[in-house]
Amino acid sequence: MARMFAGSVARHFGCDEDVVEDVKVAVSEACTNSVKAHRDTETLEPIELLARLVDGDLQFEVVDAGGGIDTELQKAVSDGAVTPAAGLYEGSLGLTLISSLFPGAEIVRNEERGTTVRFVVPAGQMSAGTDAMPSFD
Amino acid sequence: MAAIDFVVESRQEGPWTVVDVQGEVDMFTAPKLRERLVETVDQGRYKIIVNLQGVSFMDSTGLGTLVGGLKRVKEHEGVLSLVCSSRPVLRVLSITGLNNVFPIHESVEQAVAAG
Repeated sequence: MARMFAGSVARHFGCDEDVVEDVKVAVSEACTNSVKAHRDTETLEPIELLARLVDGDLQFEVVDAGGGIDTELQKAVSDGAVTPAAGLYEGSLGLTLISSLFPGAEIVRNEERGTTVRFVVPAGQMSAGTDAMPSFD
Repeated sequence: MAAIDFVVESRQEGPWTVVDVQGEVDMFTAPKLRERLVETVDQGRYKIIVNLQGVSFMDSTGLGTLVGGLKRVKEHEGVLSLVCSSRPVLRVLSITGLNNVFPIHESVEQAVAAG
């Protein structure tokens, strides 16, 4: 469902199919980590998937209320040090994918609890001349 | 849009076990694939071709499952090859460097011929 929503939003704004697929992968990875984090901490609160236009760019955000990303892992991801060869494979491959598909993606431990993953599709990769979100009624 | 059913089926092609996968491989469906790979190795079959031609989406959970299968066959000096021409799936294999870890072919026939 999350992938369908994110893919539909990206398509609505005129992203080509390669970008749509990248968005679906990144959202899937973020949601997978969030579901695992909620399961591990027995958290019943909802996981939020948000899509919004920010200065013409299309921003996606996945926010959970789980245990929060390990700070060492967070640093390794932001330093680009997480690769299959680096031996930090288990559980971190998804973050590597997000960062590779969307350079500049933010993966941060929230102040209170949980993790936020945020990435942006630049306006240059959207061809649709609309500033309105699609309706999913 | 209706979700595509996830299907994993096995067949024999000479010494190879071909595992045909259809649908989307993610955290909810990957356990089915993992189960089939474990079962195949447990049956003493260490030459496996995972046919991903019917897979439209794969995330890191699916990749991890394939790596797990590879580790299992390697313990018995076996081989795990992939058949894939789907661009989204090839892209995640490439980004993670796993395209250099798995032999990847365009058809089951090619994978069998490559031995």
